[in-house]
Amino acid sequence: MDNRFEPERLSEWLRSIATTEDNEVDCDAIVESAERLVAAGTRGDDLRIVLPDLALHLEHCPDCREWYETLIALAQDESTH
Amino acid sequence: MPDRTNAGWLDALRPRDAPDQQALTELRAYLERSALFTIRRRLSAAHGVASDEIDSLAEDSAQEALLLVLENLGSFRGEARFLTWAAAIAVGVVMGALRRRLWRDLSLEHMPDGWQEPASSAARSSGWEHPDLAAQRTEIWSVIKEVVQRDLTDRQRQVLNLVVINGVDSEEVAERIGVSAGALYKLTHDARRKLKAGLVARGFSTHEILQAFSAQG
Repeated sequence: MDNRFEPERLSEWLRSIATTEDNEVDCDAIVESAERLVAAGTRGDDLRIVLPDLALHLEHCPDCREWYETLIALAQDESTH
Repeated sequence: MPDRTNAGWLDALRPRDAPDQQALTELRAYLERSALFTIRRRLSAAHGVASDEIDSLAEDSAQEALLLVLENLGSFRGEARFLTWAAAIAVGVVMGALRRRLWRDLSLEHMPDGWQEPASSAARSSGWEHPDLAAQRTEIWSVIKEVVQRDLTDRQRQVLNLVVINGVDSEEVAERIGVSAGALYKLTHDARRKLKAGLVARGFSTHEILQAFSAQG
């Protein structure tokens, strides 16, 4: 299957270029701060306010973002069962 | 769900030669539920996987995650619930397993080079047929191609071709080319900085870039 130039993926990448900052933390920062990040997310805190560097990384890193969103969804699922 | 405090978990699991068996059983069951949740949430990556294979994948991931949890108890800081921290490890393990399964037949050498395609290829992809934006998209993509060829390293060009144009997971690319996920992020971040600078130098604003490539356009 030819998956090249998939519109949503290109849109996301162009958006990522447009919102690029000179200094961004990498995936190691997410791993290092995983507990704080997930604790804030499950509390419903606005990450852009409480953990802005990590929030920016999550905007630009699909893998980390999926990992984080899965954990939040898991926590929400647990709270309803 | 198991009802222990963080200290309770650590006390039960810390003795390496004799961890509490009830705690181990509870933790493993929790990790397996977390693994199953993750797999089902990523149905597209698990597409074509039989239900018994899903269960097997969840079991194997849970076991791997359990070992990682026990090996890394010393790194747990208590800033979150212990089970949340453990689930974070399990989710990472499952995502890695699904990623390897999804891309197991991938050959980097045979991946087509999208940077050799005309700029209109990116602008005319299915769903992007709004005529007023097509010309602007083509122009922006032309500038991107120009910056890619002029300012990016060979490795950056290769990575962007794989991840952006061909849709390969970043972590898969990192593993294949032998760098950490963090190193790959730094590489792509540097590429983004150059591309943003190139587009701005050619007179494109952030707003124009966002508007031209809006997925709804």
